[in-house]
Amino acid sequence: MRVLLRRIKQQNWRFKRPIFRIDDNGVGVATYSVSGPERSYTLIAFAHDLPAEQRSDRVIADAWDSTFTLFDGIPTEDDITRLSRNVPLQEAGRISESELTLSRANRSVRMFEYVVDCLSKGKQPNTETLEEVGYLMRTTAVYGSGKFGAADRSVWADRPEFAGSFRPELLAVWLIRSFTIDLVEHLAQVRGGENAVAIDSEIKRRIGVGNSTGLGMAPFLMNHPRLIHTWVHAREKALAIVRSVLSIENVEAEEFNKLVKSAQRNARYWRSDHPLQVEKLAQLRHDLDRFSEYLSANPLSGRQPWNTLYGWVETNLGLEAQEQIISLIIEPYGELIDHLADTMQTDETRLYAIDGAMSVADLMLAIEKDYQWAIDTDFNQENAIARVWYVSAEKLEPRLGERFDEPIEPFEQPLAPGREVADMYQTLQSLPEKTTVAAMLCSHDKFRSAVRRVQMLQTFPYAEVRDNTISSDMLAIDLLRCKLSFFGATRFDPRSDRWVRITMYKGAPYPDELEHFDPDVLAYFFDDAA
Amino acid sequence: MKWPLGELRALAIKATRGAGFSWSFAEEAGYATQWLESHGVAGVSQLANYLQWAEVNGRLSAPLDMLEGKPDELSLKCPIAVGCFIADSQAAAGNARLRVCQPTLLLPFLALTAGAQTIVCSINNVPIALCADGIDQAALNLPELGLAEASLSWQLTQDAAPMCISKSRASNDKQSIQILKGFADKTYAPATEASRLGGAGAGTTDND
Repeated sequence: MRVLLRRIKQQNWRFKRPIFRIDDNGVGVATYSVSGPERSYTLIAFAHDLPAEQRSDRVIADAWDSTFTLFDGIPTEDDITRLSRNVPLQEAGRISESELTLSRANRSVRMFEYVVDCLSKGKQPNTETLEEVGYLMRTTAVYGSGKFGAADRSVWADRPEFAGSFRPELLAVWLIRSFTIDLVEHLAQVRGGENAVAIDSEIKRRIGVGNSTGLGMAPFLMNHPRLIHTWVHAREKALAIVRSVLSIENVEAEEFNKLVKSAQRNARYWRSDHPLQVEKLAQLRHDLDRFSEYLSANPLSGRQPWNTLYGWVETNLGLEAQEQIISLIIEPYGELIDHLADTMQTDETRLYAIDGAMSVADLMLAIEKDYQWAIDTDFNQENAIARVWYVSAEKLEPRLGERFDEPIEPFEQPLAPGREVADMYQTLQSLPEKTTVAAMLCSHDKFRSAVRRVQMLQTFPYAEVRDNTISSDMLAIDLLRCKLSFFGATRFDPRSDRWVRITMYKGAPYPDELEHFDPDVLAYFFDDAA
Repeated sequence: MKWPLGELRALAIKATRGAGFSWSFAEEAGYATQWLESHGVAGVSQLANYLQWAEVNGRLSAPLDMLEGKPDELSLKCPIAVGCFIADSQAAAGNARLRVCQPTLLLPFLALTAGAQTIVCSINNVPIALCADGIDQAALNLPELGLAEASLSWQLTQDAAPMCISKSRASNDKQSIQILKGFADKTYAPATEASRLGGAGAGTTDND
């Protein structure tokens, strides 16, 4: 999110809302256009009247409060008419190469109504009440890259404004945030007439866009190994750069101390009812308090102070706190690490060529180096293979089922790389060591994907989810959270073991404010007043 | 409506799996279909024809005779299995003539093998130049690219890379797309209420 906003600010993009044809019931269309040095993009928002009983966040829904597409350029009325027949249908419609994303959002009924009510009476909403949810609407899917007819990534991948990953989707969500504000202000005006007021800009900035993410993102991680490598590698590289910084300046120490306090506040205000997350949050709060005490007693100093600090964190704190503190450690060093953001992309359409000349013996060594965890897993045990990833005929979306309770095994998706590699390893043991991979694959074509993954890890060590993705204790929300965290999301709120809610762009400037605000404030915009 | 290539590749993978091939094999078929379509060749119809052929005639056996260096010129071969073997073993100079089913599906694997060089492939003695990024534009209308079966050989050359085109959308071949969708449907689990509630994680209120 921040990288996108930085780019937009650098390029001094211009913003317009050419169309706002929303009626008194909140139904209609609005467009939000952004223009950079070379191109324009337009979010087309369709607002609907959705009965409360149809308001579901899950992919099985077939109606939403609002639906959106990001148009490549400025749409004509004909484009809007064409899209009005397809975008509201979402997966059941078709969009074209002129569109980059397809998405939808539902209202937070309580917050939406509360804010409309306040504004219509000439009052500002209470920030504490707003903080209970943090958004007026939440997206429940944001599709891009060739989905449902949208432009393929190759169409826009070489545009500088989209260098990185998921930039069109993140641009769409940022503009959706403006639409949610315009919609509440419009409905407040309809209800309150002359008494109605616009929302205060300071309060408005506390409102983000919610997002509900389900199982679809989990297979993405496994199906885009080289891309995931680039993401994790960028973060590891950033950490390595900062850990090797020889000495620290006062300004960096002061910024870090502020960030630690912000992170403590964030952990305090982070809400979730999910038992697993509640437990993790308690540990995180406890660890951050311990860390703060440690930092007070041991101010940053000496040679490679960040490295020393990292060593203490790794030894003494839990995983949640470790990851949080890594993010804080790299934060003051934008000038050293920001360039890494542009490395977080790759072209996954090019097939990774298998090295067929590799011997079976060398392939086995590579497996032992990177997949020992898989070899050590007994895949004959029911709990090791309890889950099945499959695609439902209903909406063609990924689901997760129980192998021994449901008749779904014939439909199993190839999303258990650990089991595949372990299976291959067993077969390799019976072959002569000098057999080439090309020869082995000639009679065992089912192992092609496994060979590719093993060989890929030699060059892309962060390409694999190094755990059993079909075991009974696998938590899909961990995979979802991994992906969302790279978008800059915070305050994860799991709603079950299969889907999670987050808030995006909370604290970020709106398009008309960007010129005067630093987009980087949004990463640690933790509300003091809440 | 022309399909995005990424979406088409995903459909090709599912269709190949639905036709009874392994997911690994299907991944290669998806790559081949996308590569052909992105360079102006009707990959969708090639794959649809091949999957229908395999449904009737069964799977062709693995090209073990190539592994032994003595390819049988008479036995009909699977274009994807042969293509994979050529790409894996970087068999850049194919002295042998092979009898290949839907031979155009093999071309993307020769392109993978070509690397920075040019490969000239002969389909029924008609030469077609290929490189990693495409196929000679002049060859795009050759009837040999639509053959159901042909003899094929290939040779790495020092020729300059051919002029290629690159497309972002697939050809609008509705009939072949429907065939692929029919095979792909076999990979989807029938919808049930249990799946809706459990598999998709539905069942709790979303009104916050």
